[in-house]
Amino acid sequence: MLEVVDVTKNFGGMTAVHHVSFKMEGGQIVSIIGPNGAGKTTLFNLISGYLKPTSGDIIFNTYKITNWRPSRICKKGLTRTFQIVQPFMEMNVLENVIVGALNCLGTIAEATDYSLDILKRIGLLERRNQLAKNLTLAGKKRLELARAIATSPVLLMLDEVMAGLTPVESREIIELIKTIHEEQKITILLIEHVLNVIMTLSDRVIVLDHGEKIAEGTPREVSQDQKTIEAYLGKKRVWSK
Amino acid sequence: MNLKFYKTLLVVLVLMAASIIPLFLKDRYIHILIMMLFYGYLGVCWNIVGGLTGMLSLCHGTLAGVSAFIAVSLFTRLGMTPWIGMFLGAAFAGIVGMGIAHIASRYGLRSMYFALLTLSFSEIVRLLTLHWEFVGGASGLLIPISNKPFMNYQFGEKIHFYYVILAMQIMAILISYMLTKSKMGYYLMAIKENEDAAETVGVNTSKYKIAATGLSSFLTGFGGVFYAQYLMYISPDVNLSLDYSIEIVSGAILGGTGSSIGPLIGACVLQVLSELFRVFLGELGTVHLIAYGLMLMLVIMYMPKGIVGSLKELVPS
Repeated sequence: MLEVVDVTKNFGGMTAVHHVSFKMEGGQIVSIIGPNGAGKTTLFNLISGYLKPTSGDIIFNTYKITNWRPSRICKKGLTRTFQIVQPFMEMNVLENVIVGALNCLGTIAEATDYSLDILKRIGLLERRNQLAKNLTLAGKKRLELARAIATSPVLLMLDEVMAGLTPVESREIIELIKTIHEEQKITILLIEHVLNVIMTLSDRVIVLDHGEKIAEGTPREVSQDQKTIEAYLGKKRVWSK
Repeated sequence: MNLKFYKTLLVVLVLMAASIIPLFLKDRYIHILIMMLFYGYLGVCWNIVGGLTGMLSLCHGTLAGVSAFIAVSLFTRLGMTPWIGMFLGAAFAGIVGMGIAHIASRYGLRSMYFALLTLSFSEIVRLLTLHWEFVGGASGLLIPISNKPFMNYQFGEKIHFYYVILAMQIMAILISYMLTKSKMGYYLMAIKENEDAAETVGVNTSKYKIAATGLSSFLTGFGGVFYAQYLMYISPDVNLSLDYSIEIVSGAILGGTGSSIGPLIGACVLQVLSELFRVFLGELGTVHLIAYGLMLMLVIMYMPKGIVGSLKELVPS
């Protein structure tokens, strides 16, 4: 479904993503983990079209989307959420979701029906007439999820949906993501810091460090990988006598 | 349901009043009404770009002027009736508007940078026109009185101009209102709120910004031709000056950007006030301009959403 082929991104002299390749199949939940500054968000921006890679290709469902603009990529069924939530603040919750729904639906009436349906499933139906800026952070994250799902994606990329949430709120969001994944058959690629989330949720994990892919596998395999442990905890020092 | 009935009733009453009352007014007052509707019209057109899409354009006066220069030059040099000329002028204004929006999208010029782009465009056009004799240069062009006035957009009576601009105003508000209820309207709102987020959910922001600017500039073009025919005269100092653009923008901001009717209400208030200032403070020279500026500052401080925006907060729809 998604294939990242030898992608590199330089910002001036700094290499944020260095020859990264991976493949993902439809129906999976795949996570990208790594310490701060590992290049996770840059990789996301490259896939979703916000940045153009210095070299390499990104292939999504037979389309070579390397230099496409985000809206065109979204039309083919790939969308994302942002690490720092970006709802349309001065619009109400329903209007926010309608904008997403219009990606695949032609009329406002159809889009409204569809959006109400999504809001019901996401649990924001009672708040549909509230302005987005008046929601709590957890509410805004839910709204951003609802807006992304409204575009009818086949692949949804989530950038740290749990960041800034309380444990209870995180657990609710995890449940929500699971339901979305199972009911709508949406493939999910996510970035996460909270490792226990990754372990329960994902089928496969990709570890980035300093812009390079250092490990890939099931959560269990990765958690026992020497390089991953080093990236997170540092090298084991052997003190010489 | 009830509220909807009262709203419809209000619209019908206002329309009836607007079409009948001027018949009994003196020319002096009709002139004020015309100026209210004229700036209201341009404000409503500007609002498509400035209010709905959130791109602060400072060249709408110039776009109107460019359209007027084209229509008037075609009439004085080639004898083409302004009824046709205004479509050519408006189409040209539309294309220029789209060009500006394209440049802005291409080079990522947003908010203040877009405002600066439009500002410099205005000045370039004004300076070029000042030195271009074909379109009258610095002294401008007088529109020669035609022996077939109606055929050439010339009316002896002010009241005729009043009905023309009234019709244009109604058209503009309808277009703007239908736009806000359409897919494009939702997309423009999304662009105004957050361009990056709009892109991720499938809004081709460049395309919609260019379309909005094109539509707005096209409609603005008709306003420019109207003004030229009303004054029977065009010159760079009147039709291409920055004051003209600023007046459009201040009316729209005063009335409330983002709603279809706000810019008209703002323009009405502004024209009445400026007329009052001129009458009561005019002897003191330019004092009325100071009062005008002071009032705008107060509005921006205490009613940032404009008259219509503040009313909406008082009465939830």
